[in-house]
Amino acid sequence: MTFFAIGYTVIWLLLLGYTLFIHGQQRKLEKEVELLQELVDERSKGTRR
Amino acid sequence: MKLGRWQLLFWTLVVLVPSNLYVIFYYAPVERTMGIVQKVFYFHVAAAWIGLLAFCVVCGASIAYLWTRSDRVNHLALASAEIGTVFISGTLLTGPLWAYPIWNTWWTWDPRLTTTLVLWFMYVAYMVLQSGGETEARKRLSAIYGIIAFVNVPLVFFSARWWRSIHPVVVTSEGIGLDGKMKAAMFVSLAVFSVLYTYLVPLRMKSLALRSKVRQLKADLLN
Repeated sequence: MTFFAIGYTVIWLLLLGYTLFIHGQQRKLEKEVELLQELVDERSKGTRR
Repeated sequence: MKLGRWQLLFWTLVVLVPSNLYVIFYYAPVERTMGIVQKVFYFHVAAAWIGLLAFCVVCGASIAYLWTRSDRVNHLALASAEIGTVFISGTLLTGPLWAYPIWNTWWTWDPRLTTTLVLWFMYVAYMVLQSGGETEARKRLSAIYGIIAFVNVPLVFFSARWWRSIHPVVVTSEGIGLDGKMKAAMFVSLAVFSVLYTYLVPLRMKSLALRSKVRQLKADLLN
């Protein structure tokens, strides 16, 4: 019984780790979007001049 | 302090998961003939049901995509296919854990097992199809495939009833064949997997939307 309970707990902890990993990836992507957006804006300002 | 939707779902899971473990291992009785191995059932069945439900969402979102051509709907279909495939993988992995001590074999080409394996391959193929790029034609093709692949979902569900199968059937026309405490554990497991699905799908959708935005901005910079 204990082994089974530990097995289940490990699966759920792995899943929790996976969701935290996705959140981390999202934060990175959000930063990348911000940076790229700035570059695009700067470039469009430059071409207007 | 106001909790956002994701935080609320996350904290609901934090409460539900240990409760589920408690209900499965300490509240629900040990089955008389199968013994402790029957506990696999609570994970196996809940993952399978929510996995099948996820594929229903893929079909619905695919129809909606053909109608609206909205990227958000396409992301919903893909996210749901991914989460559904993860759940069905859980079902396919936990099934043999139960089958070996009960059937004396890890795997048999039973109609239920075979249709589930085919279903898993079909949705892996769907993800491969979607991963090939974000062109309009590919998204349309994926949507059509998402609708066609759904045909296998009712086949999986009814396979154990329609064909000669050794796979147990829990839900029959006479109700759920479980003891009261086992039924409670089953419903708690279903609730956990439902909340998990509701939590993971928007999370994946957001990642897909961000990735698509990055791709679009990079293309803008190159042009």
